[in-house]
Amino acid sequence: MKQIIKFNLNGILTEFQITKNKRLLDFLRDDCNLLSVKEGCGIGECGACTVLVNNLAVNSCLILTSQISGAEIYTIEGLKDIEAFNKLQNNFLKHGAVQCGFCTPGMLISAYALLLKKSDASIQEIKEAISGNLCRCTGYVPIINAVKETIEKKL
Amino acid sequence: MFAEINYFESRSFSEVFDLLKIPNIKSCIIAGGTDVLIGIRNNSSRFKEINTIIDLKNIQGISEITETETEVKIGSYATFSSIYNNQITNKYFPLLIKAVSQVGNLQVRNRATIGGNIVNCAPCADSVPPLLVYNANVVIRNSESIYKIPLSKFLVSPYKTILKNDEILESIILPIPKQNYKGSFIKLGKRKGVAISRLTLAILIKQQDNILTDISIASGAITPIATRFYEIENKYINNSINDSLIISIVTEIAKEILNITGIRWSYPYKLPVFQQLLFNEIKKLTI
Repeated sequence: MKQIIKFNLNGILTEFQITKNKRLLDFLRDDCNLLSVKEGCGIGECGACTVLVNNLAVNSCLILTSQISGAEIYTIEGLKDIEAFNKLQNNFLKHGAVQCGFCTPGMLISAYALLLKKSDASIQEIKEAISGNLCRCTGYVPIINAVKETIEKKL
Repeated sequence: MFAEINYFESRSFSEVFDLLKIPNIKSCIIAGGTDVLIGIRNNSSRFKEINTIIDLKNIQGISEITETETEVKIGSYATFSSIYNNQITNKYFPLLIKAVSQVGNLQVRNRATIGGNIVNCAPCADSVPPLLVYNANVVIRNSESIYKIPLSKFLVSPYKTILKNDEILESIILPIPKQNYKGSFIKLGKRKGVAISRLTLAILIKQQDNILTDISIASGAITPIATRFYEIENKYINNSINDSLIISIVTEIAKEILNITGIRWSYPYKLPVFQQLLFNEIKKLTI
């Protein structure tokens, strides 16, 4: 196959010629060297591969690269200069929301997607927003507190 | 796995139908693709010969939700998240809203679509029981015509619908429910979130004084495909509501489930739980 896809990757208009189709997860890691995107379960249950597509958190293991033409994709590499995202990151560190770190990029994307959608999210809404991201280290409380503080400081 | 698969984004239905006529094309039309990608990766027999994926997301209106005076049309590409956040669906279809809010996780709901859920035809498809009690019709398009049939007739057996290779599920039509109906949707999974349904139940009830004037019951994940119990519903309409009536309804539905499916390993757990849930819900709704 041969397909030219145009999309916005981390704020940069990008054009790729695809000769072999693959999952967006593999494309981002292998072809774009965006290694924050992790593969956990590969079946849309763990959230380690979460990226932003048109400002929505989605599992990159369940999307074919071809499907993203015309879309706007963000991984955490592309958010590093955004103030709200930096605050979120700092609060993750402050609250000990990062232990082994494998779930962290996906967790940050899910939390950031919530911040984009709602500036005054409740604890319940925070829990729902990260419910598709598994973390086996923290027990979630530090993560929820980190997101909560980011929201409260902004208000 | 995916490397050899061709991908086409169609901008019009006629383009799709032309594509489908090409010999040697074994195609699969995807919407969100969340089930299909897993199926292909697992070498599922359903997707073994697929060499072409067709995406209709650019066809105008295919993911829109619109209403007329009498009905609501949900485009088959509407994602669960968009249905959950939509004013029209929230206004008329609370059971559907509850069902779509519990599908997979947020990331999946942001991609997975109602059309995909229906066409995939899993026994545990969460959106189907509510659609059945809301008397949903599906609109199917092929190169010659567009036709509409009840969802209950669209579903055939697990992972099989009446949809032919050269047909597309375009939209779902829901009549706007009349007022004074009470309803309930229950999903039982192994966990609170990110769980495949073990059991789903959708009920709509209307009563006047103590008389049951209308009832619709549909179950999911307990029969090979989600089932609506039309005959039993009709039998009990216009009776006065009391515990023994509810017990009769519950017992007959349990019997019907056994008739449809035969005895399965999960039934010593599922059937009693289902019966108790159904009893509790009808009771709650008719107080």
